[in-house]
Formats: sequence, C-alpha cells, structure tokens
Amino acid sequence: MRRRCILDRSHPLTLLIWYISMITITVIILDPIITLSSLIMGTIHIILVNGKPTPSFALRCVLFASAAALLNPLFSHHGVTVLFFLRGLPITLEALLFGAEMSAAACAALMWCASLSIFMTSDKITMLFGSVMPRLAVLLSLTLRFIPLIREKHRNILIAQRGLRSDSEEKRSIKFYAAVYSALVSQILEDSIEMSDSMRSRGIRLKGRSFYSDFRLRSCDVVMISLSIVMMSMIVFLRANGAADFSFYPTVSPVRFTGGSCVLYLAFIVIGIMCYF
Amino acid sequence: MIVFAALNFELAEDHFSPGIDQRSIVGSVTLSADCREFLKTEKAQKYIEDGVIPSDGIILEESQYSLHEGDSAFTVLKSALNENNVLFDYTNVSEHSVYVKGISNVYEYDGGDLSGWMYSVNGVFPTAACSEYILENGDEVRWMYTCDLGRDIGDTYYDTAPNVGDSQ
Repeated sequence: MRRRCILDRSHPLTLLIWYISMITITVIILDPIITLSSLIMGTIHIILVNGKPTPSFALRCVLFASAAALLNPLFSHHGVTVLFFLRGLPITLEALLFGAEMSAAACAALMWCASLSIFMTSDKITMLFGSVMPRLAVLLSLTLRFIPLIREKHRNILIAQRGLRSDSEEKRSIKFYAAVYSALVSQILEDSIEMSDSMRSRGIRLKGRSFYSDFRLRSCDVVMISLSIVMMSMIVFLRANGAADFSFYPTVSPVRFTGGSCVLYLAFIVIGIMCYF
Repeated sequence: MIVFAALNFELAEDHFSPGIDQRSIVGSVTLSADCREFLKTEKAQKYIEDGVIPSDGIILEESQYSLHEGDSAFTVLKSALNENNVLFDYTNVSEHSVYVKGISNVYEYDGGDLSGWMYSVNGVFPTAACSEYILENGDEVRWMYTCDLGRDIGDTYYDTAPNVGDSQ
C-alpha cells in the first residue's frame, strides 16, 4: 500500500521540510481554497497510504469539526449578518463560517499529522536530530527502544511467575503483581546500568564520534527539497503582498482569483501532489 | 422554551425594539460615538466599502438621550445603540465592570496594538469602568475609538500619570 508515494523511500530531511510546509500553510493561511484543497489532498493521501478510513474515524472527524464550528459564534460576536441574539449579544453568520473554516483547517492538519506519524519513524527522527542534538537523540532512541523491551520483559516475568505458583487464587492477588513489577523494575534498572557501562566503554562521550545512517540524499530528494523551499518562499512572498487575503470579518469577502492568489493556490497544490511522482 | 428563556434568545427585531424602561427619568445626557481615528488606518477602507461604518466615521451623531435612574456610561450607550440598530460587543471583566470590545464591528486591536474604545464625560477621561461611572443630568458622553491608548483623542493619562508601566 505504501509504495504508492515516495515518502517511505525519502530522506528524513525531505520529509521534515515537506511536512512542515504542508502543515504550516494549512494552519496559517485561512483561505477557503487552501483549506479545501488541503482537505481533499489530505483525504486522498490518507486513503492511498493507509487504506480506507473506518466509518467511526470519519464520523469522529465530522463531529469534531462541527462542534468546533458551532462553538466559535458563542465566543466571537464579530460580523454583520446577525442570525439571532443570545444573552444580548449577536450570534453572527460570519463567526459561524469562520468556525467552520478553522475546524476544516484543523481536520486537514490532523490528516497530515497522521501521515507524518506513519512515515516519520523513530530511526528517521534519530537520524535527523542526531548530529544537532546528540544527547537528545541518544535519549530518544534509548526510550523508544525501551518501551517494547519492557513489554516483552513483563510478559516473560508474568509467565515465569505463573509457572512458579500452583495456587490459582494467588495468581490474582496484589502480592503476585507486586512480585512481578518488583522483578520488572529491578531488571530494567540492572539493564540500564549495564547499557550505560557498555556505551561508555565503547566511547559514547568521546569527541569526534560519527553517526551512521542508512539514508542517502538522492536526486529525487534534492528535487523535492528545493521544490518545497521554492514553492514555500513563493507562497510567503505572495501572502505578504496581499494574495489570498480572504477575510471573514466584518463581512465575508468574496474569493478573488487574482493572479497572485492563483499562483499561490497552484504552488500549494504542487507541494501537495509532488510526493506521488 | 426554558432553555431559550434562560439564554435570553431573541431575534433581531425583538432585540432592537426593547420594552419600555420602567425606571424613572431623572434628566437627559448627550451621547455620541465616533471612530475617526480608525479611518486613518489601512483597514478602514474595507469597513466603509462593506457599509459597516459611515465614511465620516461617526457611528452615533451627538444627540440627547433620556437619563434613567442609576444609568451609567455603559447603559446609556447600550440603549442608544439599540435604538439606532447598531451592533456592539462587550464582556464583563468582573461582576460589575463592563468592557466595550467593539461598536459597529470596529473592535479593539482593529486599529493596531494600542487601539480600542474609550469614553469621556464632559471632556474628562474617567479611569473607572464605563458600567461603574454613574451619569448625572446634563453630562456629555463621548465614545471614541483610539489607535494610541487615548493620546490621539485627547487623553493625557499616559503622559502625565507617574509610574505608568511600573508594576505596583
């Protein structure tokens, strides 16, 4: 399934830059066209990568979005189109639409984050931050390794303890689980001492230590990174010069397809679909 | 129905035609509201084009309003705005203090970081919340939009008061 886009074969740096540009544009530029295209691209992306979402997941998304959309008018009374008054304050159509826009943007961003968690595996994170923040990278890799390790150990100890005791009553007592967890904790502590000793003896704190990583910056990574950066800076430049300046207050402005705005929308779509080539 | 009553649900027509005020009239005050300073900002053009504010920036012309017993600068503004079908927004900062956030969709911060609505009574800028300032017969209340903490509309508080900005 994942072979359908190049993200799983991409360099971690490519992933980082690509996801940063997708998510920041989706969240910061609150323009209906940007949000709608992000939402559509995100849905297609998730379906291609992860298969069809379950109905309950889709329902949860819709519920979250509509709740967020309906809450905004209660707190924001900006806007000229009054629907009705609550407690003396106007509930406006503009606030409702702005709430819908915001929740749609949040949903789109959540989709990209879901995709991020699929492709940005722990080894890629470690590789990215290893040379910049070596201690954090070591800590992160140790912690990420520890979680499955602890689960496995816990299972083994549980089996061993059950085998040791014949009385079925005792297997559910607090005393039994206390014994299991005490064994687990002491094993973990012992392991971490051993690990730190072994790492020190291998020279973890020596100067000039190099990092090994399996990832090579290939030509398609270079193309993707440079295209992302070019499109991103184009979007920032156009936005600063008044393109896609959609506003909800005091009245909802019409969507204007000026030259600058069209280029901005196109640049965003180019970033979004370039992972399929 | 009970929920509607508790939330004070009103349609626009009901809101702008309030019932007769039962309190006794003790005099009259002059009241006006303008956002002339806001017109100098970039955003103003869009607000005028949208018909949110008039091109001269005067939201309420200076005119006489009857003063009921216990009326504050806030309650007079509220009834005057409702009478003229103008939207506004406020929050209760504390139990009795009201802060006016926006009048006719011109909100605080719309004209920059130092902007918002202020009021003066007889040319003096009170330091009390508008709902705590009880008006007297013949007072002249002016609501004005400032883009510079009141300096541009004649308030000298931040120039003359000692220790402004000091934490006390």
